[in-house]
Amino acid sequence: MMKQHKLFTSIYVVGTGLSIALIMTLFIIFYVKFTPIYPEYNRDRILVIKSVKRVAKKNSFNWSLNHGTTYYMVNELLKDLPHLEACAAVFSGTSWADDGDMITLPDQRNLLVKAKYVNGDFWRVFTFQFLEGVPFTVEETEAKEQLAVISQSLSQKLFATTSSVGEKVLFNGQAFRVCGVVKDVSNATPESAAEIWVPITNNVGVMESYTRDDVSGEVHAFLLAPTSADKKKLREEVLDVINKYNQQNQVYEHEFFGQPDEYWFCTFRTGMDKTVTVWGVLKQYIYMLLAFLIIPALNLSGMISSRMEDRLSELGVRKAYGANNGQLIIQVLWENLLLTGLGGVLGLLFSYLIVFTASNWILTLFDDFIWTPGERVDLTFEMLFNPMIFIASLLFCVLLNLVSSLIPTVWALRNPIIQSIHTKR
Amino acid sequence: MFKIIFHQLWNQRRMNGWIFAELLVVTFFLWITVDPICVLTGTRNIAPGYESKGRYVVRLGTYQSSHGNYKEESQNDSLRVSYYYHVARLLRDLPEVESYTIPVQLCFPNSMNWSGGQLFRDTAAISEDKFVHHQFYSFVTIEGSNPFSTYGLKDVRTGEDLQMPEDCTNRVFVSENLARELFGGIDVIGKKVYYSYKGASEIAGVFADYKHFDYGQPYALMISFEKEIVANRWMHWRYPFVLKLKKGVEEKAFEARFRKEIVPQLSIGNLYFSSLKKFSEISNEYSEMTGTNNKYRLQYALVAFVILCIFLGMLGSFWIRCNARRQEIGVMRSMGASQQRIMIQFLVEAVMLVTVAFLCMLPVLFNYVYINGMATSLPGGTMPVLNSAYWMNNFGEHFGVVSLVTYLILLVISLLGTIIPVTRASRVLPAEALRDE
Repeated sequence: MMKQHKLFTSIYVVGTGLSIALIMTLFIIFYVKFTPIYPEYNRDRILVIKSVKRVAKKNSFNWSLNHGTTYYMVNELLKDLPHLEACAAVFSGTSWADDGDMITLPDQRNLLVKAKYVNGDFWRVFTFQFLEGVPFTVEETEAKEQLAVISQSLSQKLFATTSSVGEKVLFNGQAFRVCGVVKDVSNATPESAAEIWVPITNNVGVMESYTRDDVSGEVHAFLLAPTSADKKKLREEVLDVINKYNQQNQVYEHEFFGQPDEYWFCTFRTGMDKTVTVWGVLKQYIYMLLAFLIIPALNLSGMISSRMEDRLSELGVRKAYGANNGQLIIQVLWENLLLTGLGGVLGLLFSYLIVFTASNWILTLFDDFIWTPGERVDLTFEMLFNPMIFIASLLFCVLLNLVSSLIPTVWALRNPIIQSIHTKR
Repeated sequence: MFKIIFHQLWNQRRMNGWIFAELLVVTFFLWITVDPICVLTGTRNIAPGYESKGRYVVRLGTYQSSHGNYKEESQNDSLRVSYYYHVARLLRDLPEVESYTIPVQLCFPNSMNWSGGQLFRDTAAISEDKFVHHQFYSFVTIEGSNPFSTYGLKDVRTGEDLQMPEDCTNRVFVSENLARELFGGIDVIGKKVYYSYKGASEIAGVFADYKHFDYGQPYALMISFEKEIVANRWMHWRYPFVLKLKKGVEEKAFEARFRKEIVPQLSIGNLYFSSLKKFSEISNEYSEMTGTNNKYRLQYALVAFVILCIFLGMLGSFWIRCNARRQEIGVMRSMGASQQRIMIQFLVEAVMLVTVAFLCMLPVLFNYVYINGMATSLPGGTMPVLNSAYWMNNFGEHFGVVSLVTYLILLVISLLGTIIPVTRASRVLPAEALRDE
């Protein structure tokens, strides 16, 4: 069939490939954002708090909006909740001031590094693989110990080895002792990715806001529930804490925009001042998905319809010999599924090509705001080559095949046997 | 010919139905995909009101008290101000630099900072709360700092560079749109503008409309001046420097020399060099951060998808159609029809299909955008007065422009998809085409 109808086959395969490539690109983007991958294997148990708006109770025009909460909230207000296993506080700094964190090399050159200021619980919420050493603890964090966990590639860069526990790094002019070396983390997981992690208490800015007993700041909070089922209770407990805090605060009301969020949902909270709704989020993707399916499906349907016209007499003969419509429909669907499958494989390969070549920006394609644009993003084997992606690819192929083949086939088979056979004359 | 084509289209309605349905869906999808591209591009092309070539922003950092390089003895306020003066003179006197200025709180194009407020034409307007919302820029005027020359701001009446007043005290410059919103015209020099606390400033000049964001529309802007640098812990953030290079200076050579020779001299007290960026780099960074570049990427990818689909659809559809009508083509050729005549007939069929589908979809699109709205550009501020001179601010013009662009894309791609099979079919010899007859 493929040799006989080269043009039909080519257009069919390219059309299917195009559709599958774009659908799978979307799928891969969200697979990387949502599902448990290193070092965020606990994503299904995590609730997240990002932006907080502070409004004066006496004058609603007097407000400020921050892209996080505070270490005070994490360390004082949330820490004893019954359904909280651990609560990570993460301060990533801001890029708007153009100042980055630096490590001074032995030759006095400064190396700009990606740093995260985190608390002791960070290492329980996120599941890092330690190649050597151990993380700093809650107590060491509180004691403002100058300890650092570094990535294996930074260790290699600084000490030409991945065994650097006990070594000193001059981080922002202060000597920090390396207490652990972890497997590299891709920027595809921006909430946990860094080259160096140090106790949050070493950041002057974070600790200044701590003294103001404020809950609007620049720290992202990741709350780990004991089980996925406990998230609901944990969320209620957090909302209760927020309500009580707002009632006690005489000056300000704090708006959390419906947070804490499920981890998957918080990936859509890229702009600060929005109440994100599930339907608002899904709407644009549903439109896109429908377009990716329907437009190529109409294309394919038109071609299948033309081919069915040519094959009417053949189908008529088969019907005359006892084949029923169901059997004929299944035959045509299988024939087309072969081509759809071929297009699906090409499409999947093409989606990998898209994702690899655009890896530095593709994961933030739908974000309203990108704090660190242009960062190098390494996509790992586990992110791209896993059963979920192949199963999804197959399902979309079957769906596309059904959508494109079913109607023209059923229409063609509506003709009586005599009329079908007559078309050959 | 048109009658024949209509008959053809009607007779083959089942075959045409699929491609027609695809054209309908594609028209809708292409329209809403092209709309943001048109608006973003249209907005980007609005004159910015400043010049970006050869302009650099120099930013400094300050070591915090927790930093190893922090020097307690340099935290004295008068010392810190004197360090700033030193840096200002150093940058001003660079041989490559024509002029420089010190924008307060990052007031340069595409910066992340945006400051605005309420302005009144007279004190009566204050009591009636009739204000004009505006953005404000402020510049420090020490050591020959000249924002007008550095940014290339032009006098709206003469088109020449604005001149710094000898005495900047309580003098402000306003953009054309701010002058019009306040006083209904641009002859406003010498008039006073008031703030909500009833303080006043005199207007010393009017400059052409100015865009803070490249992908935003011009917003009412007022420029004021500060005579001194004020010492505080955030002064490195509050007072960056903007340089304008002399004509003919090679930008790459300047950057290399700056990093090699000037940067070490900028480490003074607790200050250190943080960054040197061109206006164009800052613009691109802002577009990356706010997702504007991603929006372009996404929309272009979607348009490419639609274009490829419709190309394949028309190609496949007309290929099959041409094969099915070989006999008809043979008869036409044997009766003397030229290749060109046959091609035109098929191409007109394609044009009619596209046009009818497009016209059928227009009311649906109109209804859709009437309810859901069209793409909008960044307003440039929080309370914009949209300028009706820009097409994207008028519903009718906006709808017309995007519809035209959509139709042209559809038409060109459809004709490209059609022309390949039609050219092949029209070349066939009559005897060969009629062999099966």
